[in-house]
Amino acid sequence: MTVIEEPRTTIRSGTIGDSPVRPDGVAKVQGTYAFSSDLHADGCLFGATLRSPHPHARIVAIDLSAAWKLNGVEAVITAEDVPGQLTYGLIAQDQPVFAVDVVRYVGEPIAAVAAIDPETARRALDAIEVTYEVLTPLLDPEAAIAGGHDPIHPDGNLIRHQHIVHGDPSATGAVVVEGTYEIGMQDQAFLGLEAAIAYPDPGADGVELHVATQWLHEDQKQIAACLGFADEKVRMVLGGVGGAFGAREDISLQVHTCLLALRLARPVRMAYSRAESFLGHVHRHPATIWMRHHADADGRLVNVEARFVFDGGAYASTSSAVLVNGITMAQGPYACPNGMVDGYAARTNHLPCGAMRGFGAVQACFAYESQMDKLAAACGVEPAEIRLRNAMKTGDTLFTGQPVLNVAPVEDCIRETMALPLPDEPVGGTPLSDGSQDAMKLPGGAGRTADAGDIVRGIGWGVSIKNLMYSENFDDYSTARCRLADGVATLKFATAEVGQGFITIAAQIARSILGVDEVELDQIDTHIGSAGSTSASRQTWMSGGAVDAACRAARERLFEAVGTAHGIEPIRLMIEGTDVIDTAGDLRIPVVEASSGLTIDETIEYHHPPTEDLDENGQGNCHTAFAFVAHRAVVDVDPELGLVKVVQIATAQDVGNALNPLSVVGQIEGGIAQGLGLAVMEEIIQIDGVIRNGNFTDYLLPTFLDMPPVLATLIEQPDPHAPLGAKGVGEPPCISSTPAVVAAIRDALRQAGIDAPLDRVPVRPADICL
Amino acid sequence: MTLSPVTSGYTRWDQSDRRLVSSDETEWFAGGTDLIPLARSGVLDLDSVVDIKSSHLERTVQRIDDRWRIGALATLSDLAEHEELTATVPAIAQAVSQSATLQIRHRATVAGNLLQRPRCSYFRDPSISCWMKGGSDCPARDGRNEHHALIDEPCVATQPSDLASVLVALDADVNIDGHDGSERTVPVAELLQRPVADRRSLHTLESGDVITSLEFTDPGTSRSTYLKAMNRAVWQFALVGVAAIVDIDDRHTVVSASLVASGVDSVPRRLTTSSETLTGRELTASSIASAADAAADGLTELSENGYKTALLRGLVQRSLEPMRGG
Amino acid sequence: MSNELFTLRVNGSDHDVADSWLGESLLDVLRDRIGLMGSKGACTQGECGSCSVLVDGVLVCSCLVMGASAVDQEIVTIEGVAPVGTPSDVQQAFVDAGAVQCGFCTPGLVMAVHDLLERTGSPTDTEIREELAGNVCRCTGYGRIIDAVQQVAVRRSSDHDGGRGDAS
Repeated sequence: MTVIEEPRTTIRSGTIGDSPVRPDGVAKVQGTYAFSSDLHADGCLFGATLRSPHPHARIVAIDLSAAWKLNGVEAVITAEDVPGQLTYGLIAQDQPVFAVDVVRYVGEPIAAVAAIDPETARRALDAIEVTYEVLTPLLDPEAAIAGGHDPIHPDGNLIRHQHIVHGDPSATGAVVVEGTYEIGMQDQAFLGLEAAIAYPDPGADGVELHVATQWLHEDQKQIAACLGFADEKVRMVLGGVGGAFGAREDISLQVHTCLLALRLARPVRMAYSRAESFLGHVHRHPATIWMRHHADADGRLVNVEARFVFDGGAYASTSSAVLVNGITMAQGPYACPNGMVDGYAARTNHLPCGAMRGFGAVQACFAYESQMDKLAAACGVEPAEIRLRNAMKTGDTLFTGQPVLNVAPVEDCIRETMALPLPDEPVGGTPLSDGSQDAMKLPGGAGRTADAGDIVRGIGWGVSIKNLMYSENFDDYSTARCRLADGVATLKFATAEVGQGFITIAAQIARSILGVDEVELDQIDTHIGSAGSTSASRQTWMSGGAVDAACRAARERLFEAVGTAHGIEPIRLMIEGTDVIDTAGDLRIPVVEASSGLTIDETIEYHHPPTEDLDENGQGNCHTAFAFVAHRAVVDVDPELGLVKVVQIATAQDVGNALNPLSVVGQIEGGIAQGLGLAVMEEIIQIDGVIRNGNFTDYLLPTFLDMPPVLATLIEQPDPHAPLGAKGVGEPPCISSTPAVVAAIRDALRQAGIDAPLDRVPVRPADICL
Repeated sequence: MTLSPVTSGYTRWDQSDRRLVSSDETEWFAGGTDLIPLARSGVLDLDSVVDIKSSHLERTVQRIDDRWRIGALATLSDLAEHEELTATVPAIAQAVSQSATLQIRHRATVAGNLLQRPRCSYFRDPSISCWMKGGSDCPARDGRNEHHALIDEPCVATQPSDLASVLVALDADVNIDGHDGSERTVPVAELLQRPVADRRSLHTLESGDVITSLEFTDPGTSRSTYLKAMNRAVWQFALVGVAAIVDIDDRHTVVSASLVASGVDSVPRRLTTSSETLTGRELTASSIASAADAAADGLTELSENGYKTALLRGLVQRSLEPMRGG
Repeated sequence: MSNELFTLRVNGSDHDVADSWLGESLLDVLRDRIGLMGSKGACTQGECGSCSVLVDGVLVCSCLVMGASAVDQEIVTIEGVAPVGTPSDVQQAFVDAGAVQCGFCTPGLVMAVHDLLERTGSPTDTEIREELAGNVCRCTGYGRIIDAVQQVAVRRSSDHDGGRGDAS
């Protein structure tokens, strides 16, 4: 068996606040870093998955005989071969490992095969004959809510309904604005496709799975239940993760790969194609949101009424949590005394939806920020001004009754964004040295469709609030171990490094706390307690908190040892640079020397304070913490052709404490690119329940030429509740960048005399030019 | 999808007699940039292929007297980077550099560019039957058709090539080495035809026929341009594209005009009325507006692609506007 | 072509390939037959550039090149850019500038940036964006990548005859 394993990685410099290079950087630029799709074992077999072509059908018969007869086919399995629980799921276990009797979305797994090579596996899939009785699909979430349709799942057609009432929901204001907004289904579109390799234990009573995932222990729990194993019989190792953005929080090929490997007592590898990936992971929920804002004549919010409908698709995934995120953020980062919100997550025969960066807050933000612009117009004030007048402050209360106890620098975010310079580039772009236009910088780009005279420029704002970490009474924690010996700190955690750079800051934390130069990072696997998911902007806070606490515990042991050796009270000792020093004396010993011969080994579980469930009126302290951000978009629009070029995004983000400023900037720019994509190009199209653009020719992603320069100010006001003062930074950039871009397009069109509602994202040429 | 082993199905053209290797199922390719994704996705069965990339066919781009000759194996990059051609017929360089990405332009040949299969997402979905793939219906007509042609035909896929519109506007010809040994020259406008029931293809080339080169007459003093509307800054098949070759005399009168659109038909669509409207008239805001207004003559909007009419009108106007004066 | 075999010349070495299927791309052959895993497949239809390699000095998407048709051509992959542990100037700049997050697009981008800087010593912002537009990155929003390219361009023009570290 040959397994490509990442060597242990050593980092040599950089403490908190520096921007040291990534420990995996050189391997990644040289192509030697092993992504999960690069894993291979001698003698391994190749798995493939048979999927439903129908959004809703009864399975009348499955004939596997022709597949079994093919040379090179080693296993063909269906639901009958699942020894444990037949279903899995992050919150409700409602999704079948393989369809049983009925299929509920196009792409639902029905069977899997293992063969000697991928081509033979594909042929085996072709040879499986499934007889279906096609059923009428439920595709309208409103129909699911209304209850008229037969249940498409034993759990019913409504995944969750939650109501929130706050203050006097009948309060009215002098100014009322109203709108209905739609958000299309976005794909996470990580580049590194789903892939895993499973190694069965001798005797097939356990399995080791190497997989790209966001949460090893949750996978372990769900896989073990389906395999009928105790959790510890499923050992998980993180395969190199080529991006995640929420799409790897749910199970995809994990159980299938393990089942095939256990059945055959041989390693089995599975890897999705791009087309299969579009079917194989959950997406961002499409949503329809109605809102009515009441304000006084000066634009101060009096009441917000809202109704949210999220289309959860066929299975629950995290829909109920996405719903709560969305509806509890309905007021946005604004103080408002009264509110009434109704939210539904519906089950349909569309692709299942779940986590994507922003997790419900994205949908809410497009609606409330569009409303804030309407309110500004109705009150005759500038968009930035209406937001300043309503900006939330620490101590303000959400509609859930929860006070915002975190640093809440909403006003600072807006003012610092306003202070960033507008682009030098004139409307229509800077002429080149020969006087011609740089067409690439105009709407239409390489297509050279516009001249400067065809262009109008607009400016738009978006400001948002995002809850950090998990909510609603979930016991959220992370585990880290720190070993210290001979001046080398070795960290172990199960935190999924998905590209965000946690491994870099983990080492920075250890260096800062322990005064070491050398930090080794152990393999990321389940041989330690859970780290929770790399999602909800939570790992810097949670796993950062765990690493911090483990390193502090190790430092205490070090000080005890030094104190004992030198007859000094440990409390007098501290770390200065790379030395242990006596604050009340002359002792100064390098940490390398002080830790020589010691074996300090400390493991800490870090929990955030408990949160509460919501009651039937949506009241309760359900969230852990909050972060804020402002975005200002400048766009050039060609109204006649409906083409848009985003010229600049300025942003100021509430980051608490930037542990690694370069990484923070990377998160900001990358998140904005995804927000821009949702604003103007990214949407999964389903017609009659069938995906129509599950490839990168038809599902467009922003390119180098679509992304503008980003000006970013980091608002560093360390949060006293955060272990390192640092707030999560991953999600906020993609939340309010979308409405900022759309607002800027509307602004440009107004100047051209066009009043286009643009109440749906992504905005397409037809929405502008017709 | 079925794939054959390389050794039994792969042939380089110069290594064998074409008649021995070619059947109706044989796929001929040079760059292969369209062939491989089609085979991988299962839309196309590959039993045998003939690779002409490293054959004797020409890759040169040259002017002989007033005729331009482009070897079939010239890549899109070869055209984009050819200084004299770019100076003479800027529309060609514009069309090819607006196509695809650098990596694809480096590999894709001009002949292959003309022979792409439809980019229709229904056509490219192996699980869906469609008229072009031999079925009875076109699911796009009543389905998702925002990227489809403005025509009322059995298949509403667009001709994906940008270059093709420029070549049709130039009245270019292709030279063909026929499977029966004959050599013939046909206009690009005849090579690229709407599909019909017994030829479900965007072109009329028969299996075993090989395009050896393209030719067109140097447009002399005519101005040329190609504009293309896309939903992002680069690399999308045309929502709408417009090629314009216009000869204007020193009194600003249009001697001849040839306007051809991409993205609106299953062929490069000659905008005949627009072209005729311009001819013999001075190029003014008014004549340009008339040409733009006539651009969509004869086109039929489907449920989702009506915006293309606005794009077509706008692009015709913008292709001509810079040719006024100067 | 000999029975059941063809030979590809990759990074200066010959590799025999047995049992390749028709339609198998150069990317598949590099990864699955030769074991060079540095080139990545993310879209397998030429959209993302993750599989970029040089064929006879020309940057192409290896997912769109038939493996069998690359015989007799010099292929350079990410593994051929610089020895392991000794990054090229472009590779080092990517690490230093924060141009790497998940890293899946990175090998293809490194190939494209080397190619760009070979052709254009001091590219403008627009030239960088245009030339690299065939390489999609989903993590970074491109800003730090552009910074990395500019850093290399500046450094190369200041060390006018050295410091290339470039095997492409």
